[in-house]
Amino acid sequence: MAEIVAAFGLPHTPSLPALVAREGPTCETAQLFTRVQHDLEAVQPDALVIFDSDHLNTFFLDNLPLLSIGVASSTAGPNDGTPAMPRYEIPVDEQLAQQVRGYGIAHGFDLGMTQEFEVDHSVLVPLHFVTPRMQVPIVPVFIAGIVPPIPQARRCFALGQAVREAIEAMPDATRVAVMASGSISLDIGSPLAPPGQIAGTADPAWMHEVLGYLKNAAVDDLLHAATTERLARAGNIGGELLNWIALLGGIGPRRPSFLEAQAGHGDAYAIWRWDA
Amino acid sequence: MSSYAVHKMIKRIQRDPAFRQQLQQDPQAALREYPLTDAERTALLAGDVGALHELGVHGYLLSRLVPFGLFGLTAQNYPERIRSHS
Repeated sequence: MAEIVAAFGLPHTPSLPALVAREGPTCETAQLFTRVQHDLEAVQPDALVIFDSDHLNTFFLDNLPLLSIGVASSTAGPNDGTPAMPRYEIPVDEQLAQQVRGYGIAHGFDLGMTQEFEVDHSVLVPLHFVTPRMQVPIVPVFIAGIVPPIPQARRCFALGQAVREAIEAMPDATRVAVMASGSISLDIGSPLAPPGQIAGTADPAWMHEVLGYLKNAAVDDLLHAATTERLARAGNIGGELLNWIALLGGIGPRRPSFLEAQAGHGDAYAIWRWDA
Repeated sequence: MSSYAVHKMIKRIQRDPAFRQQLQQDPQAALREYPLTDAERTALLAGDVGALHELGVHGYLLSRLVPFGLFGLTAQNYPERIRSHS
């Protein structure tokens, strides 16, 4: 039986590659990504399912699926000019992508699809740091959490559960890691951003609350609290939390083996391992 | 989300250097091909991101204008302007 063997939550702020290039491998951000890289390499996944919020680059308002999957043999990017980052070609696990989409549709999820696509910084900033050789094939699961109306938290949690079931329905021994890409509380360019800034944590109290739910694996409390209205108050990028919620659906109520926040950025770095 | 034409124009700004140059040289002419409302056109030309946000333009896309210095927007004036109508 194929299975999910580990999970990782990471930010994807597009300024991070330039920051780490400037400040070097000892800066806090570099250290946090390195920690995750080590654990990801240790579990040796065959594939990486990424719950991701495209930032109107892979999809745009002319064609915006709420939930969709990239089904192809490869993708490339970033397609939005992320500073200090090379252009990458990334393998996609097409068979797993098809399995997740087919299983999801058969179980009530109306999943869109793209078979020819590039990805933006939201997929590639985490991979730039944790799989820089792009050796692990990915399956991007796009959750449109940035353009309102966004999907509901419980629906995204259920999608994560369906992804797990889809993986476990495969007869082979594929080892899959899952990743949530995104911030916990972030606003970019709306009046909710901190005064004097274009972007930043819109809602430190929500950040603190969510970190508590993650730390204690309080999934029911998180799902109860993460109403669409509450996510909107967490900033116009607050819907990225849906990626973390989908991840939790994939792994169940587990406590993270590592969780560290950069509260000022609205970001968190998390690892769930249960193999040691 | 309304204001589709504004969103579409900002997307083009991100990807089309020649269009950015047109906007620097003659913004009124460059905007002509987009079916903007009068309110959208006036707010864009004034760099009034607060008004555009009120009209339904996504803040994330509005903030993408800043690196190009279009419509008089800077990292300094953007935070104040985005709040000007809220």
